[in-house]
Amino acid sequence: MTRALLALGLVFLWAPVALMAAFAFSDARQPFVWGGFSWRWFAALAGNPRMLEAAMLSLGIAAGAATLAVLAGGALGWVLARHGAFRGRTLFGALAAAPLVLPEVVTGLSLLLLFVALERATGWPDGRGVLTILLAHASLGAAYVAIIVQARLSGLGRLLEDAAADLGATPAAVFRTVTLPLLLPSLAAGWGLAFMLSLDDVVLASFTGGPGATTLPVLLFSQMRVGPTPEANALALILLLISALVGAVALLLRR
Amino acid sequence: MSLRIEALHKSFGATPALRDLSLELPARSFVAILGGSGSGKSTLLRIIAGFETADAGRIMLDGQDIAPLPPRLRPCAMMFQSYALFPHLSVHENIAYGLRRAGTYQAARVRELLELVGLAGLDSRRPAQLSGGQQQRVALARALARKPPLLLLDEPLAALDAGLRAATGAELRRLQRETGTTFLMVTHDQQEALGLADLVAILHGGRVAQLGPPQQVYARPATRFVAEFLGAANIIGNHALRPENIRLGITGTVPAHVLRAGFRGETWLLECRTADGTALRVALPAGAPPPPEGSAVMLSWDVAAMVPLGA
Amino acid sequence: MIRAGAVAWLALLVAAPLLLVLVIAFAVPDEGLPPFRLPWASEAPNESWALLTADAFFLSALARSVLLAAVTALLCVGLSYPMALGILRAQPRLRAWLLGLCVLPFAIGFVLRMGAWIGLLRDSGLVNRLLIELGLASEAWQMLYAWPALLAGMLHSYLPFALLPLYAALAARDPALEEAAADLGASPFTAFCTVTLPASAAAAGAAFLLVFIPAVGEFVVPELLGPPEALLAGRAIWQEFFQSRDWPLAAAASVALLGVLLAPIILWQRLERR
Repeated sequence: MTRALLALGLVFLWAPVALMAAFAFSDARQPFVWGGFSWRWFAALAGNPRMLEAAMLSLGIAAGAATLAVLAGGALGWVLARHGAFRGRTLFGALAAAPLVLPEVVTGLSLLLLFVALERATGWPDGRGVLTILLAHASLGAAYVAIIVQARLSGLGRLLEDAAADLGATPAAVFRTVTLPLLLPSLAAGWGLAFMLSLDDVVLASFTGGPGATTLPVLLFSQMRVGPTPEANALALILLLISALVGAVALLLRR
Repeated sequence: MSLRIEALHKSFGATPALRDLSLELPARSFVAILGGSGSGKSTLLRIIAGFETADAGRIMLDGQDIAPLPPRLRPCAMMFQSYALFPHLSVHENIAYGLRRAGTYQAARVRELLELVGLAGLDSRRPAQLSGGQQQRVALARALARKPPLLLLDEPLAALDAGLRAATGAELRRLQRETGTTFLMVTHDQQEALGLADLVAILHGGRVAQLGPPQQVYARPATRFVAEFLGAANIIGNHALRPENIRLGITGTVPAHVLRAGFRGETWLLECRTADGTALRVALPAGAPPPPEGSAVMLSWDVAAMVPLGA
Repeated sequence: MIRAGAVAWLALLVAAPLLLVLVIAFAVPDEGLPPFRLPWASEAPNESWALLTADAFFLSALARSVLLAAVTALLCVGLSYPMALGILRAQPRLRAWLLGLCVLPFAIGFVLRMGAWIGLLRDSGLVNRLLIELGLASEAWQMLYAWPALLAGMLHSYLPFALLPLYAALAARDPALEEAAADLGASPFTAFCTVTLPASAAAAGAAFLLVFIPAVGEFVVPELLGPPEALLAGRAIWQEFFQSRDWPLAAAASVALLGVLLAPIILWQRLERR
């Protein structure tokens, strides 16, 4: 029974995605129509400057946002796990987790209002664009990193750090030689998650982006409003293959 | 090196864990702190190591109060109950850890330690690739690396199989003699404490109930708690009487009958009831069969075997 | 120092923006950039709240959103249970791969996934062409821009939010509990209902809320797959902001949305902390 439902769920999840990937090789101009085998949509994708530009922009924003999210989220998780009870701890925890549950439109609107207010008060940021999208994505990603880091630190406890201190390590040495190496897999996972969240976001980028900064998901969203394209199918297949490769390598490395 | 603990006090919230605890350890000795759960024994060890701060009291190590020092500046080393080996470092690097922090790392010293604990050649293993007994030895070598004058051992044998415990205990004893380090071991296991230590301190309710050599604390328990905690004891009035000090025979002074006989391996432990209703436990060598349940027996003991108890 | 930095981060990027939404919900629309006057700088009164509550337009959008999110979350949790149990009953070395197989479709991004549903379900889409070719339909069914398509897209978008936490909770449970139930004479189904389900109720509740809360404000999926006449809260906020350029109204609608979500969010944080 559970097996049958698992299979059903997998079919539901995979059917549209697999069909998309399969029709990436169709020569037909209409997506999801078989017109014989062809590589042409991959070539078309490679020769589409708008798409490539948006992709590069998205990758850059995602990498920057993920890095910033790891730094900020690491600090948030550290405080949540290691600072015990302090005044405002409940509010701190609620704010740290808020981006996880706030509706995207509300987060997007709120960050836009922040950037507008900041610009009026200080002159910075000068308009909206790459930087504001990056900050918005980092704010979202940091909440996820914080959860991962907090869970890992709570799971580790203080035992190993106590042992290191007992062996003569200064607090800085304890962090460098014990805490950080043990935290590294979690930070890497958090970076990956923040990277994916950024690459998948339409709403925050729409609110906090400007005319000069169209990310790939925003571009695709405006295209999908009109209808799917064979180029999008080709892109989906490429993304699927890259992710499958990364996922398989990660799974095999875990052994 | 000598350790003197003076009037140590520690409470967690309203619950006192240690109450004005004082204790003095002679240099180069193997001391066991014995107590049940909640006796404060782990708290005491963590305060000496510096992971907890006492509310009051002093910890004098060779005349210097180490209580204000952070753990890394205290000359003692700790062996943790769960070993606390660094999972991301090799065996070699685990043992080298303290040496590297002190800037005195030499590969030869690490190999010497590995040899000392009988793990030569396992340098590059990760802790997860070791058996429980091997992990215990790595933890020991790591704690001994910087030749601390005082080694704190938190339940060092608790995580081992019963079969490994006796051999590892003897090994601890040998290392203590060879290195001349003072060992302060915390345990809840009476056999372990009595079998390994030069001195046993029984902790009860955050205080030292009795401190003395194993034979003495067993034979002359100072309080009812100590008498009952260290093996079976009959409490008669405010005297303790060990079951093995009661003789059973046809002649004797106290008539009784046997309620039950329990097999203990080396001995039978008989539960008897005397004519006036007092329950007495009597140990018999296991060689012969015990008297049948319900049979009448005569009991006797030397008055000198009755140990007067304090509060 | 770390704490000061963390507090500053939250104050700037979480607390301040939310406070601004609250303030601007009471501002007055104005020509210019930004297109509003702050409540204390304007003589004209704020009308956003009156506009929101004047007719059933926004309130019914909010109700519709809550209903859609609840059904989505229920379907996600309902499907996640058997899927997670199915994975856990596989051989241990297969589990990670099965879980990977469940998560991989999400790697292509949800815009493209929604694009795939459009390609399948629209009038000239694959399903309609297949139905006509097989003689099961004489003309195209209108499947896209309707509730079933929207629900399929929502389920496809939100399933991992329920699947992953439920899988983690069920993986951490004590298998001896079910064995004990079986030993005491319970059938597998009874064991599930009387032991597994109650033991994982908190995790299921958290998973439900983790889908429900963001789904109430969902914008992209309804925009691409849903019936155009069915206005939802997320779309209402988006339209007020981007099309009508009434920022105070968009902010007021956001506050109303948050008001509806406040209880579920607090409940979720309680469940997570356990």
